[in-house]
Amino acid sequence: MTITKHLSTLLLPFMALPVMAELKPITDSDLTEISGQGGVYLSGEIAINKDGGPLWTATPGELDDFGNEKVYRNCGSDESPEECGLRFAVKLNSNSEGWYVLDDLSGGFSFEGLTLRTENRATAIDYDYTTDGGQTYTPTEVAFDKEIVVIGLPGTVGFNNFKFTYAVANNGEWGESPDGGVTPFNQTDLFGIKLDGDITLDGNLLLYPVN
Amino acid sequence: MKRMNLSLTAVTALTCHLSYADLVALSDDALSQESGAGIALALEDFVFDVNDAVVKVTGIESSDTSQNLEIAATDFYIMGEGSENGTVKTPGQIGNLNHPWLVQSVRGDGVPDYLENSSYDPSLPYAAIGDDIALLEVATDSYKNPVEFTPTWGLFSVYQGCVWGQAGCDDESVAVDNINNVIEGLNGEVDAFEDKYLVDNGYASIAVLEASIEYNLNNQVAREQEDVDRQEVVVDAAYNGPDGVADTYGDLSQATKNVTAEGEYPPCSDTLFGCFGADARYEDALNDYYDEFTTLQEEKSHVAEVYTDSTITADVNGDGVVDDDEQVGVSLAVRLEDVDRYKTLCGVDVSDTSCSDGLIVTREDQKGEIEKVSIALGNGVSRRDGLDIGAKFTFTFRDAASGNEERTDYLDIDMKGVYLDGSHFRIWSREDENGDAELNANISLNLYAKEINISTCGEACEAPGMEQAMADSTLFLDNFLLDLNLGYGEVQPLKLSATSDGNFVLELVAPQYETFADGSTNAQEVYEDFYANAGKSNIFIGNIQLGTDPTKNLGSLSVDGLRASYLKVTSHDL
Repeated sequence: MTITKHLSTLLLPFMALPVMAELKPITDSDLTEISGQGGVYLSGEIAINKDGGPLWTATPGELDDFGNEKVYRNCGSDESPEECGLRFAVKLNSNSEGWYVLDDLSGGFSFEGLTLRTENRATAIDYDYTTDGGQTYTPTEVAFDKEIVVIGLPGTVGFNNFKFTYAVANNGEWGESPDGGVTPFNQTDLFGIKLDGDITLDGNLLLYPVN
Repeated sequence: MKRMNLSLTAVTALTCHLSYADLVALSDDALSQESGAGIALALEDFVFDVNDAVVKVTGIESSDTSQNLEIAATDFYIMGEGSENGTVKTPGQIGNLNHPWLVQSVRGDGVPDYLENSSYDPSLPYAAIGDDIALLEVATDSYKNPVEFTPTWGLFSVYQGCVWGQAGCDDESVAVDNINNVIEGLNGEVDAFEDKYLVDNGYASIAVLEASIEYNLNNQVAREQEDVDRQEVVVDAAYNGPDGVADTYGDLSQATKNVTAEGEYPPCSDTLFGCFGADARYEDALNDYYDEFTTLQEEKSHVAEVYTDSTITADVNGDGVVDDDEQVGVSLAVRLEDVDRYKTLCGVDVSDTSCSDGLIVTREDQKGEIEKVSIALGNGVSRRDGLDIGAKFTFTFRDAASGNEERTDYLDIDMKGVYLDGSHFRIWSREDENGDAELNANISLNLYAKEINISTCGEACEAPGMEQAMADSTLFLDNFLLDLNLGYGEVQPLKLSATSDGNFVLELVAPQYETFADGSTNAQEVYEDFYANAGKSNIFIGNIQLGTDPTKNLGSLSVDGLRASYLKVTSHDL
């Protein structure tokens, strides 16, 4: 069980091809020649509930794919109703009555040029290098010789109305009473974050396992 | 073929290219030796800059909900030192290969056993956390080298009094001289204290001095206090007892009650003929009450007099006998204050006259670390570069109903030369008294910044030629060191939870001690261990300057050795 195997499994789906006019299946024998040990270059765009999700509707009476009426929930204003984004709730303690919630998570982000590769770093600076048992230290380049995973950050990440609200609530599920109707559902929105525009994210993230 | 179909589905949204540069096979041999208990992370040549993108914080309302507050963060950046407030994209290093950030799961080193001689070792890195627990830790880079280790470097900088490497700040001996002066001053205080009591006033020892305080409190003060206690009972009876103020007030006619609050004289008291009947009985009760109350004040002033009287007696020469002419020489209040200060300087055990504990020893230890930094700098060693972090915030208050802008405030924060090494965040789960699993945490945050500049002028000062106005409206903090430690293992965990009405709770519980069947507790042992081993929090700011006017220099700030035995933070919906 090594990282190599994990990586090959992880990376296989992305080992497609340079973009071509026509996609052709690779034969099994061709596929076995790809080890998955190389690097990849990824560009992607991820959108979360950009046009609203399947559970909630901002206008009453709308039906979901199965013909059931969606729950009415408006995350916009009365003048411009907006369907809500994804909701993610966690309870930190098993006896806790309250939940921490990331609510109305929606929008998208895109990036171009995230690279993933492994390399051997022969040396690295040891800032704790000492030759006299810790009396004096001199940062020195010493042998490192480890395989590390290098994730090259994409340089630019574009955010498109990416937003979420941070809240605390008395139930994980929105709108549901925590005890079958005795206590009404209650949620306190602490603050919301909204990100729009291009940001610079440059550098290399180095990863390696430690004991 | 099945796998191929899968991959095609997965990549429809992704455009993939193979990158052939620097491809090296992972060595199975090298990696099979790792157990994978943790992951080491480092960010190399890191640049983060939101440029012109806007991060908005919404949903914050004024307490009367008449105003909405919108916070827009622009120009948020994290990059290498020397970025000129984020304008020059300088690569920064966050951790490095030999000193990476760690995300790991580790076993606790065991909790203190307060009743038996256990093998508990508080110096172990995961001390005070049970060895049956696997905790999750996120730790920043760590160093043994005192020049690289931020708490030591921050301390050196604070005593140096200037930001090392800036113009005029290149004499590494200044910090050592300064801490020597501080230690000299503290030792001078101890000498003066000993002269005052042992030489001038003839006390046999500091322990005898402390015993004299105890003696005065238990005798002279206690005697006067007895009078106070007795009189308090009398005053209470005069008010609440039979025929007292409350009792007789109840008998007053409603008409009188309407114009007289309980404890006030009735209107008839001011008339020529005086009061009659129920009014007179109430007036008498009030007179009686105020007389007794005046006596109580006198008794209390007698207690105060004992504290300021230097002619009361106690055992001064240490023979165990209080002679009639054995006066204390220094008043009780002053002795209390002086002994308190002495304990701060030399430790709480006054029978130990070597001053082996307390502030002086703490400063001596710090001096040792500062000297190491000073010697290294003298040998030409330099410190790694830090990070520059900054953001501009615009706070816009809008009328909730109309949406009109009512006020706009600006805050522009630039931190230069920031280091975070030696910090950690640990979480683990432990069952509470009801058997429910609870999330416990310990937080240790070390943050050192060479400079923090906070400006409130906003756009008006960003125009060309406004540099002076910008500087005048800026708060400059040099050598900012925050060393925050919250929680001491399982003795004092930090608990995070949320309440049923939807508010968050952060609680640093008081150190937990046990009460036994015979009514005794191990509180003494628990608190001794807590005060000996729980991490302290410190804040140092080397220099605080408002604007550029030298008269607006607020000097330095230091909060040293802070430790919270209990802290609870709860949010409330307004």
